[in-house]
Amino acid sequence: MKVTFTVNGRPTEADDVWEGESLLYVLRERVGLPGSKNACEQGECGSCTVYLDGDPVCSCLVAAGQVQDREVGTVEGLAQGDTLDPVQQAFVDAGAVQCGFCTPGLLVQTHDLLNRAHHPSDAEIREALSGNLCRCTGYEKIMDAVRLAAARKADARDAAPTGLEG
Amino acid sequence: MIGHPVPPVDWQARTGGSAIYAGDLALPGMLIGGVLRSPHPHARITSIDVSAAVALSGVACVLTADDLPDRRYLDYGGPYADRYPLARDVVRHVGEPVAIVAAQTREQVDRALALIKVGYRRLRAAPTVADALASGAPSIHPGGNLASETRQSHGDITAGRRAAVHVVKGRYVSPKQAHAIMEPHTVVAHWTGERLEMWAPSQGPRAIHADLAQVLGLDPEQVHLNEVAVGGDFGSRVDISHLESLAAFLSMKTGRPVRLGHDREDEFAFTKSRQSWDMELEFGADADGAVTHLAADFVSDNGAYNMAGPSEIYYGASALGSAYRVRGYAAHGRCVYTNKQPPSSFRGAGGYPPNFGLEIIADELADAVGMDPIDFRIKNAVGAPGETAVTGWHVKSSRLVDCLATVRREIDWDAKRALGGSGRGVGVAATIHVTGLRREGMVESGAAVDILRDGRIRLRTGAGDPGTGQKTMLAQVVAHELRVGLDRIDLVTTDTERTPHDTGAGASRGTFVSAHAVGKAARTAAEALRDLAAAKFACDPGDVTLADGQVTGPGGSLPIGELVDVLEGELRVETEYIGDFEDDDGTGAGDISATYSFAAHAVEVDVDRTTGAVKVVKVVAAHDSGRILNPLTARGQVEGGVVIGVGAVLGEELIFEGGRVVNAGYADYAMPRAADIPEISVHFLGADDPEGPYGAKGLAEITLLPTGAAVVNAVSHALGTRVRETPMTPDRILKALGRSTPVRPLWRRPNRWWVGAIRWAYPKGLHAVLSRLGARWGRAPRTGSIDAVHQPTTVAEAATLLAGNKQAKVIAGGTDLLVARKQQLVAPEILVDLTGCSGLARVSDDEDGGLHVGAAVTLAELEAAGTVGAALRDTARQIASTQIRSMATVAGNLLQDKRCWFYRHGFDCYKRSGPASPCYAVLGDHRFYHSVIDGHRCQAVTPSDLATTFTALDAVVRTQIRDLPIADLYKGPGETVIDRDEIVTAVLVPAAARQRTTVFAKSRLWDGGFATVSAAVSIAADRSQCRVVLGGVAPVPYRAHEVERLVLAGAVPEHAAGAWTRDAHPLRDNAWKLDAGTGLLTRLLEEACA
Repeated sequence: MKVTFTVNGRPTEADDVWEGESLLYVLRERVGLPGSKNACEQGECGSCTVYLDGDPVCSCLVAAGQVQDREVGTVEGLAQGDTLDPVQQAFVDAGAVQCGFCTPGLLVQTHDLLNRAHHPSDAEIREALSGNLCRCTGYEKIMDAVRLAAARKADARDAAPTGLEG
Repeated sequence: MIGHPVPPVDWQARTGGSAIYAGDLALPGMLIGGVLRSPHPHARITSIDVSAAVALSGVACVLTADDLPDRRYLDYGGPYADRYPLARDVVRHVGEPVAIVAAQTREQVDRALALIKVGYRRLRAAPTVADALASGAPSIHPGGNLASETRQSHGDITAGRRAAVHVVKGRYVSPKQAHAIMEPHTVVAHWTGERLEMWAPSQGPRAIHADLAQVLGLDPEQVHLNEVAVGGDFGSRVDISHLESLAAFLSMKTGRPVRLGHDREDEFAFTKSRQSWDMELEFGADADGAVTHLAADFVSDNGAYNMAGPSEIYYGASALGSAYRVRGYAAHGRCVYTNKQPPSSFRGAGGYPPNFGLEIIADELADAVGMDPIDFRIKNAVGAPGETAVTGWHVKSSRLVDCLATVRREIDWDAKRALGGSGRGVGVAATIHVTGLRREGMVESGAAVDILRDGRIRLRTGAGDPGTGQKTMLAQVVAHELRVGLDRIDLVTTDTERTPHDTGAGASRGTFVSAHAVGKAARTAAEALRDLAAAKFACDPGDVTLADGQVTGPGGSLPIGELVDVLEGELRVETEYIGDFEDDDGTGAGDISATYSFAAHAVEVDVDRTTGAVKVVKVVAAHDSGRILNPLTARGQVEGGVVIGVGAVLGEELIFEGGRVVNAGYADYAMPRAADIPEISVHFLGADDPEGPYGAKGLAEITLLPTGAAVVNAVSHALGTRVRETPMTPDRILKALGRSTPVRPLWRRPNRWWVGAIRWAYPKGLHAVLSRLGARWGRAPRTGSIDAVHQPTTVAEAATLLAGNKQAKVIAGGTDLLVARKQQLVAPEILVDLTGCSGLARVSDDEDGGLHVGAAVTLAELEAAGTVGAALRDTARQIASTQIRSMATVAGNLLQDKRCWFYRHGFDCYKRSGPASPCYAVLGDHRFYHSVIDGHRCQAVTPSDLATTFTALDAVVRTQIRDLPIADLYKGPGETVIDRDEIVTAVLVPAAARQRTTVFAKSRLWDGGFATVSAAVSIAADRSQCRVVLGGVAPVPYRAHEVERLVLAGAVPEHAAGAWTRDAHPLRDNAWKLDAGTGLLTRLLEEACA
């Protein structure tokens, strides 16, 4: 079958899709976007987290047939050209990356968290990131990165003229 | 540059999603590979017929051992080599590769694998060390079951024993921990006719290169390892696995690129883990508390083949004797073959298990002597500069005493130590660790530095970087020596054609050896630049300065790019560093490492005495690793190591049944998550080490050596009683506390005689008989392809679709369907997607005051809905993760299938394969996810947390044809009375129930994990109504009527809460759930009655 959907704002068509394959597989093998990682295919690790109609989901659990006409956002869509998204930049600056395999999923998840909560508490951050496994960092630098990104976004909002927020 | 925090050079790519891992490579014409694995722990192969698989369309090639050269992997050494790429004649563990396939698609690969017919004659197996050492045990290899043995004796143990006044003895077991690296093992091979192009991620690429060429029978020059991102290693990829050569053989046969990789289940089941050690230790001290002697007798589970086993026990025995100032040390260690997947290296070079046992017995000895554990270590631990341990390890630099003082201060040791037995406790552990091994070939690396015409500098190193920051650290060295910024430096790593030999990271030599090598090359390049400039400026090289990409002499300045342009376009410098080494005489004695690192960790824990849950509150990690070259990445190493160390003692353990891994998935392997981890306070105390490059010593491995033992010591302190068994899951904590609800024997309960009879018969042969019957007559796993996904807009339309096709299945949130399909539990041909059906996603108040929760309301919506009440919100919040909650629906949660790990992970059990098959939980590990009451043939439970709470709320499940009280919904574990074409549309909570105070709580192994026990209590303010429900204890949500009766009669919570256990008949190892359930209920009753 053919699936038509939007990826990172671009209308996208995937051909020869088999109905039962996952959105993750479609993104990685058919659309040429390998940024979302396949680490468990059971929805337990969060490495494949993408936006589906604005909500973060495990793309390994979404059947390809379910994404027709829907909007998908992946890690490749976070940066604006060569400029990293503030969340990505905070991960680099805070040292929140080691092997990098869990990173794409964590970035999307954090991006979503900071859209919903401007000043998340540590407990909220930990809870929000508990669906994303990381084996290298021990999560401490990831916590630092989320705090840093939240602070920078807050600064940017303060600096922005009223009414231009968002 | 050196000593400053620098973000790694490749992080931009890793955060942007553009870093390429092996699984991301898309080569033209690439085939997918697959491995047919042994289903048996021990069997003789009597025949293999591949003809049907070969004939399948899309299949490019099928290979068996007969098609391969008669060669074995070298692994850790010639005499120990015993592992073939594909099994020859005999399989010795579940998962051993028997045949391989390459085809166009994954589906074709799976079909082809299913068509290969292998005849096996089962042999008696020895899946555990005890089995393998028993008299009359089957021989796993012709030479018997002893893979290797080490006897070490240093100093005078007789004199030590004579001087001892206090002697403690104990048994310490360090179980199998999985690396659980995030990127499952994946390789790509491409044979181009003369050369093999290979992408095989590793922190030790050269070791893989050498063994791969050898086992393929190729000239090393013919094998080219390409640079590729490495998604974690921790020793897991430091040596060759079974995938590299198999992918290469497939590519050599087909001439096309082949990708071969693991899924997560394979990754847990069929890769190496940390080797388990079972140690008997004896540790003594004199009247003053000075240690006298240490004796060790240990066995280690080597699995079916030698990977790192022999070298790990040899090294580990030496490390064990090197940590304390004993007069004499003696060790006897055996590495024993078993019919299991072989383990291998795991961050720590074999040092973790012995250190784990030693640091616990050290606490016990300190207790016996009457000394504070930190004082005991300060007095006795090897760690004075210039000191030599009884084994010959010679300390060059050490700040161990400062490390111990730091953790004492930072954890507030003296105040908290006074709280012992309160449930809150502190513990400490320390260690010494090598910085590389001074053995031939292990302290030598080359490095190359090229100065290019455009002024850029290219560092070429054979090292791999699995995320440790190795590349950046080496770039820092070049930047430091050539006085340039990091942005001018390009790196080429791993590539076997473009980089000189590097020993790779292992035994904590990564920084030591490679930074020495790169420093030497960079200094040589700097000299060459000065020489060139001196010739140009006609001055002495000593008068030339090098900075910011310029050479400056008396005659002026010149960019280095212009300077080298006079040569053949660029200056290329390649040098080799060879460190000091000595021969290994086989006794384990000697100064084994160039220098040693030290660490002390102190840990604070909070232990819940009612549920057995352990929370690590804080970890203070003080390290002497000499000068820290990059504090940013170094801190990340410590924090990461600490969390792996915490995981090792709180939940992580590979569990086996009949030689086969049971908990092969992240849902069942309890790894720490962000919400589980403590505050970690990191302190670097090291001064420059005289031997290390720029004063540095090794770091990454030592970070996890002390953590586990420190947690165990803290838990023992918190409980006021010794805990030795790890991981310290709730069952073990409650066992250590000796709390056990009495269980009435089954023979006194006629209505349970049937259960009693089955339990009696299982170990006496019933299980064996059923597993043979099941193997022959059991139902085949469900497979098939999904042909269509329908997206109806009304329930009626959906019901028609379901009624019209027996193989149709509902999908809504979909959080389990694709998973269950992969586990071969369901094989729908048609999916009917309910998410588009109108009216299913509403939460509202009914006119009569009841609550209406639409079936397709997601858990995230439920969690956020103000009207549903605190209990439902709390319940939803504790289920799984944010991602899952934003997909999973209320009805999906109620109707989900059981999570029994035997059922889920391919064991041909009663529910999976039919009534001729056994229930593996009766004799297997049933501590967490099986019933303690009402279990008959199947011991699984209904996993839904919402079911527990909705039952307490007297909910009604509405479908398009009927309203069903939730008490009538379940007919078995995760099994309901809902018909195939019946659609749940809503769950209703009556007004009366909403008036009650309702509370929910659960015990689980990790944040978001399935309940081991859950409970909900719902009480009317006037005590006229009471509902008490337990989840995770019975096949269906368990209504505790007797508790309800007592509460209504006015009993206080602690008297009422335990009444539900009267009818319980737990399995061998899950009686702890009675205590934990009663503990949860007591708390909830108090809360609800308050």
